[in-house]
Amino acid sequence: MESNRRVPNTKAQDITRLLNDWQNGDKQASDELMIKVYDTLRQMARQCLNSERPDHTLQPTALVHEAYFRLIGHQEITWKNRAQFFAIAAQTMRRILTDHARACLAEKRGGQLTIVSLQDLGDVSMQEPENIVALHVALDALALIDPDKAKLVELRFFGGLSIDETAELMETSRATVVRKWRLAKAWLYRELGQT
Amino acid sequence: MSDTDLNRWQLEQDILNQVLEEPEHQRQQVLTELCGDRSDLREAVSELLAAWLNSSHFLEQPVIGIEDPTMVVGPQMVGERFGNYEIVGLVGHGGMGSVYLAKRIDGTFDRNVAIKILRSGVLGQEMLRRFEVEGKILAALDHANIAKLLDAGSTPSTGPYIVMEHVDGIPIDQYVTNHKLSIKERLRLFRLVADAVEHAHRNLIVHRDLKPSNILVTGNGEPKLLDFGIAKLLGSTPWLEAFDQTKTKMNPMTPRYASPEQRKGLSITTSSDVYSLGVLLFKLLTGVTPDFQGEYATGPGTRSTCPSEAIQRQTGTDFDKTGRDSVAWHKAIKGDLDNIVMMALRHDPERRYGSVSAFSEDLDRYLKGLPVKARQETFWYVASKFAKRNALAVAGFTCFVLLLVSFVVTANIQSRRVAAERDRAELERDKANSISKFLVDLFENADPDKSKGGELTVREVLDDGALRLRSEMDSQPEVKATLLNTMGKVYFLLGKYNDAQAVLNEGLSTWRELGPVSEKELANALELLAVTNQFNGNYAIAEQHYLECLQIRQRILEPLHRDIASINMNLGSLYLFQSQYDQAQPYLENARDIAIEVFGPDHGHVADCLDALAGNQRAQGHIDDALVNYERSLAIRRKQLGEHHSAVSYSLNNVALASMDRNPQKAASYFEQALTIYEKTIGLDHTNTANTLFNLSSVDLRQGYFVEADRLRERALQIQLDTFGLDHESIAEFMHGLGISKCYLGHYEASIHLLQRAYHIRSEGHGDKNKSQQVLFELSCALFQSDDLNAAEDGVCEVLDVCAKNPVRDAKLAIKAELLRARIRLTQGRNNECDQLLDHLRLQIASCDLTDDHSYWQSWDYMKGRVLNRQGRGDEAKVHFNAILTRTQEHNDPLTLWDRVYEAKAYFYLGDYESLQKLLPILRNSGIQDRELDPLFTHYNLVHTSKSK
Repeated sequence: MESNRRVPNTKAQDITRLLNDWQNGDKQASDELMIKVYDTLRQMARQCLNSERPDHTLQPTALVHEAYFRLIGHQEITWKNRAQFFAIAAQTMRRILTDHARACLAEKRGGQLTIVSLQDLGDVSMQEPENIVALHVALDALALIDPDKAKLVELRFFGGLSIDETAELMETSRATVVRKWRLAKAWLYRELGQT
Repeated sequence: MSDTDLNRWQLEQDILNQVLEEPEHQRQQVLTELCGDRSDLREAVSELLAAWLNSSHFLEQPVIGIEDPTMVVGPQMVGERFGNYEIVGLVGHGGMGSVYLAKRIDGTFDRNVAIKILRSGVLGQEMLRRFEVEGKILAALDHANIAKLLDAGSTPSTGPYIVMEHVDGIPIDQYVTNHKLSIKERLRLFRLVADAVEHAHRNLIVHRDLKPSNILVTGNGEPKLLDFGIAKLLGSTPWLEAFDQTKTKMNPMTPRYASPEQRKGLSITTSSDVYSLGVLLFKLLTGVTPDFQGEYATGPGTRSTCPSEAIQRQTGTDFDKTGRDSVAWHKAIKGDLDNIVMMALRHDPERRYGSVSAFSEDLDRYLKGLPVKARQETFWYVASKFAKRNALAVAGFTCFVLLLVSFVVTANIQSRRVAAERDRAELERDKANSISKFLVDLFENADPDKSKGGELTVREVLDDGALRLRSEMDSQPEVKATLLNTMGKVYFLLGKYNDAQAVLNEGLSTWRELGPVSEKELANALELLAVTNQFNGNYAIAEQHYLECLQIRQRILEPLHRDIASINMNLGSLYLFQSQYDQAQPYLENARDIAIEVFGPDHGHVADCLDALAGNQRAQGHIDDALVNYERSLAIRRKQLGEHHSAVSYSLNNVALASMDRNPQKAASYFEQALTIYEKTIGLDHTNTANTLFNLSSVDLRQGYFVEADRLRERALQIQLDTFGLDHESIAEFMHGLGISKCYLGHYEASIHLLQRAYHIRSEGHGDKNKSQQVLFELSCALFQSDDLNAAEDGVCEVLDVCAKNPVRDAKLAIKAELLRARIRLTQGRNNECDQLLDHLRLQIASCDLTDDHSYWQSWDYMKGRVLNRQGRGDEAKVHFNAILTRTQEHNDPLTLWDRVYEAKAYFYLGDYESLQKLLPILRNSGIQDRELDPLFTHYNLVHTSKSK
C-alpha cells in the first residue's frame, strides 16, 4: 500500500474511458474494467485478509473508496460512471472474499466444500469462511427472483456503502433502500437458516 | 427458478408488509386471514416474519475488518483470561459493552466476578476515555451498596476491561413487586439506595444513569448500585460535549429517568440524580414512571400527575392485581409522599431538594411521622420568585398602567423587549395608594382556613379578593371599577390572563355604566384591556378596544396629548406585531410626531416611538431608514441614561438587528455589549437577556457557528420557559429557532419535537397564520432531513394550501415550500417530476421581488443541475452549477454559510475537487448536517485520509 500512492494520470483517463465505453455498450470495456478494478482491490484486500493481526483493519468502505482514488483519482467523472464504478467494486469485493473463503475452506477440508446451516445468524461472525460462501450462494439465489435486492446487498455488505450512498447510486430514496435492505436481509436470513 | 418463484416472493413481501403494520399480538391472526387456506404460504411468511424480526443486526457489520470481540459471544470468549480472572459465561450486553461472568484462576477467592469489556473497536477514543474514567471513579468508591471495582486493565485483543463485584440480584422495581413490599418497606429500601448515591456525591461523583436495571437487590434484600458507566467527575468537561462528539446514538442516558436538564444536554449536577431518584421513587410507589407530556413538560405552568393520582388511574389494572389495595395506597401516598416525590421531580434543579440526603431525610421524617419539608408552592414563594424575575413590574402598584403600556409597546416591536426603567409614576398616586392598601389588606385578612395545605396560594387570595370586591363595593362603583382594574393587572402579571380579562371586562362595563363623566377612565380601561388581550393573543379584540380608546381620546383630549401618542403607539405596534406593516406605519409616525412635540426631541418616549417605527421599517425591508431611526434612539438613550442602562442595551440590540445582514461583526459586537449591560442590570435570567441571546445566536448561525448558536438558543429558551411557562405564545418563537439550529446540527429528533410543539402553540394561538406556516415549513425541512419524506411532503402541501389563500403576502414562503417539494422529488429519484416542478418554479421566482435574497436561485440551479446530470446531460448541468458560483462571487454582503454550502455543492458536481477541498473544512467545522452534503463529506474524508497516510 505504500508504493503506488499516486496514480499516473494516463491510468485514470484509461478507467474513465473504459467506463464511458462500457456505458455505451462495449462489452470488452466492461471486462477490461473489471480486471483493473479486481487487480487493485484484490491487492489491497489481500493485505488485509492475510495479515495475522490486522491492527489497522481496512473497512470495505475505505477499501472500495481507496480503490476508487487509486484508479480514478481526481479525474472528472460523471455521476453515472461513479455509480458503475462502485457497483463493480462491490461485485469485485464479493468475488475476492468468496474466493478467499473457498480457498480457506479447501485448505481446511482438503478441497471438500460444504455449505453449513446457520442456526443463529445474529451471533455468528460473517468473517467465517463458511458463512461467506453460504451468503454468496444465497445471494445468487436471491438474484434470480429479485436482482434489485441482491444488488443492494452486494453494494451494502460487500461494497461497504452506506444507506445514503446506496440510495444515491441506485437512484432511489433512502427510505426505499432501508425497506428493501430489511426485506433482502429477511429473505437471506430465512434462506440461510433453512439450508 | 421460474416466474412463479418471482410472483411468490412478491406475494410474500406484500403479506409481510401488511402484517408488519399490525400490532404484534395480532400479527399471527392477520397472517392467517391473509393466507387463507394456503398453509405453505402462511408458513413461509411466518418464517419470513421471524427472519425479519431477527435479522436487524444481520449483515450490518462490515464484511471484513471487523474487530469487535464483545459481539462474539459464547465459546470464543469462555476461557479467555483477564488478569487473574477467567471467563466462564456471558451476563449480557449493555450500552458500553458486554459483561461476562468470570472466576479467579488462582482460586484465592471463591466468588465470581463480572468482567466488562468495552466495544473499543467500534467506539473509538472518546469511549475509551470514558471507560478509563469509569474505572477510576469506581475504584474510588467504597460503599456497601455500590458494586465494588476489583481490577482494571487492557488486552491487545479485546481492549480495556474492568473487573467488578458480581451482583446476583434482580432490578429493584421487580424486587419490590415480587416481594410485595409495603410502602414503608419500599421507602426504607429506597433510602439505602439514596444513601449510596449520597456517598458517591460526597466523592464528587454523579451517577447520571440511575434506573432500576442499574440497581439490583440481592437475595438478602441489599440493594447494589451498578454501572457508574456515565458517571463523571464533577467539574470536568461538560457532558454535553461528549454527547455531541459521539452523536446521539451513543448517548448512554436513559430518558425516562433523566432529568430535564439532562434531556436537554445542559450541565448536570448532583441535582440531576435527585431527579432520577425522584422518578425511581415514583416508580417504586406506583409501578409506573411519571408521565411527561413531551420533553419540556414538568416545566412551570404545567402540572404533572403526582404518585397518588397515578395510583388512582390504575384502579382496575395490573397494579390492583398485585394484591394491593389501591384505595389504601392512594390514601397513604396522597399528601406528604406526593409532595416529597414532586419536590424531587421539579423542573428547575434549584427548586428540588438541595441534596440527596435532604431528600432522604425528608422521607425519614415521613417514616417517623414528623412534618415534611416538601410543600406545595406558596404565595410568598411565588411572589419572591416573581419579584426577582420581574423586579421592574413589582416595584410598585403605583406605576402599573404606564408600565403595562410601555411593556406591551416594546414587547411588540420586532425584538419584543421590556424597556424603559424610567420612573414614569405619573398616575394619580392617592388612588393608587389606596388600591395598594386594599391589596395588602386582602392578603393580611385572607382566610387561612380556606387552604387545606395550611398556606394560601396567591390564587386563593386573589379569588377571595375578587369575590369581596364584587359583593362589597357596589355602593362605590368608581372605586370598584378602579379596583377591578387593579385586580386585573395583578392577575395579568401572574400570568392568569383569563382571570385578568374577566375582572377587567367587569370594570369596563362599570365605567360604561357611569357614562360620559368617566370617559377618560373608560379610555384608560379600554387601553389596559386591549393590552391584556394583546398579551393573551386576542388580537382582534385588542384592536377593537384600541380603536375605541383612540376615538374617545381624540374626542376629549387636545391633539397633542401624551395619551394620544400612547394609543397611536400601541395600535401601531399591534399592527406591526401582526405583520400589517402598511397599516402600522401612519400610527407609528403619528406617535413619533406627537411625542416629539409633547416631550421634546430627546425624551425617552421619543426613543420608544423611533424604535417602533424603525422596527416597522425594518420589517418592510427599508433597512437604511430603520438604521437611522435606531441609531437616533440609541443616541437619545445614551444621552439620557448613560451607558449602563438596560434601555441602552435595548437600543444596541435594535441597531445590531438591523445591521445583521450587512455587517454581522458589528451586530455581534453590539449584541455582546447589550448582554454586558443586562448582566449588570437585570441579570442573565431575564427575558430581555433571552431575546438578546437569541439574536446573537442568529448572527452566529449566519457566520456558520452552529454549535455556539445552538447553545445560545438553548439558554434563551430555558429562560423563556422559566419566565412564561410551557404554552405561552412567546415560547413558540424560541422553540422554532432552537428547532432550526437543532436541525442544522443533525439532531432531528429534538428538532422535530421542538418544531411540532412550536407549531402546536402557533396554530392554537391567535397570531399571524403565516408564522405557524413558517414553523410548519421548517418542520417539513427537518422531516425531510431525517428521511421522513412522506411526512415532509404532507407538511409542504399544507403550507402551500395556506399560502394559496394569501398569495401575495406568502409568495416567498410558497416558493420555499415548492423548492422543498422539488428537493423531495430529487431525493426520491423522481427526476422528471422534479424537473417539471423546477420549470414551474422558474417563473414563480422570477416574478417575485428578491433583490435582497438570491438563495432561491442558488437552490434552483443546484437542483436543475443535478436533474440534468441524472438525465445524462452533464454539459447543460455545468451551466447551472457555474451560475451558482457566479452569483456567489458577485454577492455584496458578507457570505453566509449557506452561500458556502451551495458553492461547495457546485464545485463537487463540477468536479472541481481542489476548490471543494478548501471549502469543506469550513462546512465541517460549523457542524452542519445536510443530507445533500453527505457525498461531499465522504469525498473529503477519503481524500483527506489518503493524503495523511
